[in-house]
Amino acid sequence: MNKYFIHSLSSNSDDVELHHYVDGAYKSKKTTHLDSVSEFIDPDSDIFYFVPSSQISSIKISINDEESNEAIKARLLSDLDDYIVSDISQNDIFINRNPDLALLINDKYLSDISQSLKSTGAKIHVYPEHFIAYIRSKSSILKLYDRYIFSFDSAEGFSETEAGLNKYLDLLNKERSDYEPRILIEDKTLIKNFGDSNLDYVGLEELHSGFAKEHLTLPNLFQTNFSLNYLIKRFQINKLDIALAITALSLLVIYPLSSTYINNNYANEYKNETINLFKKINPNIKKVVNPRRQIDEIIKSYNLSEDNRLDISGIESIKRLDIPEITKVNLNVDNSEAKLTLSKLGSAQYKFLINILPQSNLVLLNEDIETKDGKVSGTVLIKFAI
Amino acid sequence: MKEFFNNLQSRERNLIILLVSIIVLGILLSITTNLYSNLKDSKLRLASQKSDYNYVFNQAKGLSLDLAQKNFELNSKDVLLQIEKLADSYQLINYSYQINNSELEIIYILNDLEPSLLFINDLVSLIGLIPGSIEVARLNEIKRFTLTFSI
Repeated sequence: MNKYFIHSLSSNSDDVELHHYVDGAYKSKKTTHLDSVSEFIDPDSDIFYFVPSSQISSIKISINDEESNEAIKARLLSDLDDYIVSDISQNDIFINRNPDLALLINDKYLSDISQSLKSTGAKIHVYPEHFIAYIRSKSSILKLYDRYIFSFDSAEGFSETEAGLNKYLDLLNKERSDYEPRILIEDKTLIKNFGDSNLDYVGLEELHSGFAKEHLTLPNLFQTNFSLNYLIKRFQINKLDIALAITALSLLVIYPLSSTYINNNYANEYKNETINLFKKINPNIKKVVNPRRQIDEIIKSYNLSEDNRLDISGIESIKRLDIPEITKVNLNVDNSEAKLTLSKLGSAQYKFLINILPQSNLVLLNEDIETKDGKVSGTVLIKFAI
Repeated sequence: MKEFFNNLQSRERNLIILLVSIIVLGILLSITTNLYSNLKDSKLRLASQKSDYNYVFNQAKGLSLDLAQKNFELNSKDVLLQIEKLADSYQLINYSYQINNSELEIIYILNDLEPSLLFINDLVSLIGLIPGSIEVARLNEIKRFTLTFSI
């Protein structure tokens, strides 16, 4: 299983670093632009994208079990009017229970990330980047690329560049004096500020591995809005599949349409021919409404016998008996029997003839034959099974 | 429109997508049901028209034979002349007929079986009678046919 962990190289740019793992084993690392990630990622992969925590407002909230997410959002918006700098309506709000947390992120910023990731067709997870430290240790500090990432007990987090670090640390000391983070990277400024009793140096690979195992308890910021292109990529639907699907759907529509058209044409043809039959019987007939009743009335008016035989039974069978050694065929049409006179028909041929009689709807009634020098002569009586 | 859609809450977007999907599915289902219902109707109509045609055809054929038979009873000389012309058109060899004891016997020679059987069918249409017996006697490639009708 392919897994890609994607980090922004800078909070203000779309350059990203892809870390590729196959079945948990590190494979490669690549730097690219966010819009180009689809060139490196297959649809059967899992993507973990980490949004710089400076782009996200993470707020600890208290949640009653019975309170709906919509009610929590409404309460949050009224409480935090002044807190959020950007227009509140331009933010997507994610509510997470256990840990109880609200995450606010600019919807366009998130949407742009989602769009780029959707082009891969992979299974997408989007998380604030401080979660990667939070999974390791709730209160912790990590440094990735140009920024320090702070994670707090409540799953809140923030990231700050090196330039603003001292200012942020001062603020932290004032606002969260009890903050005792684990230091996950070797950094003199952090050790100076928090002491060296809580050092837990860890590599990025190990953080990725831990995150992949435990991320399910955290809120995924990827919104699975309907996107045909994403679904096509996700399920690896190629042009042939689409062509086959369109063909199948077209057939589903064309079949009843064409069959109905053909059936109606044939039905009209039968109707016209029925009218023509009536016109041949009587040219004055203008309208045929109930053909069966009308023809019965005509037959009745001519005072015809009901049982009028139309077929000569067995006449077609004469063709099957067209063998030089059958010198005479006497077909009795009335009782559907035929007397065959044979003259020197080879015995093998005779056996074959007798064997194929049932297949020709003929039944052997009687045989009066004699075999001489392997030749059969005499008479055979057969019946036509109608 | 797209901007309006994007500005909606996620819940509202999902509801709209669900609603549109249901409407589209409903329309597709309705169209498909209608198409297949029309197909079923057309099959029934075809079966009915075909059955009516076959019924009328068989009855008309019976009527035709009956009329031909009556015509033969009333104008047997004319009909026998017509049979002779028919025999000429089929190029029958040694065509002859005789009427004995309410029986019409027609004898001819024709080597090909297929046209001979066609001749018998045309003959039946002309006189409106089915032969009681058909005898095919064969000597090498020569086939002599004897048809016997009860009149």
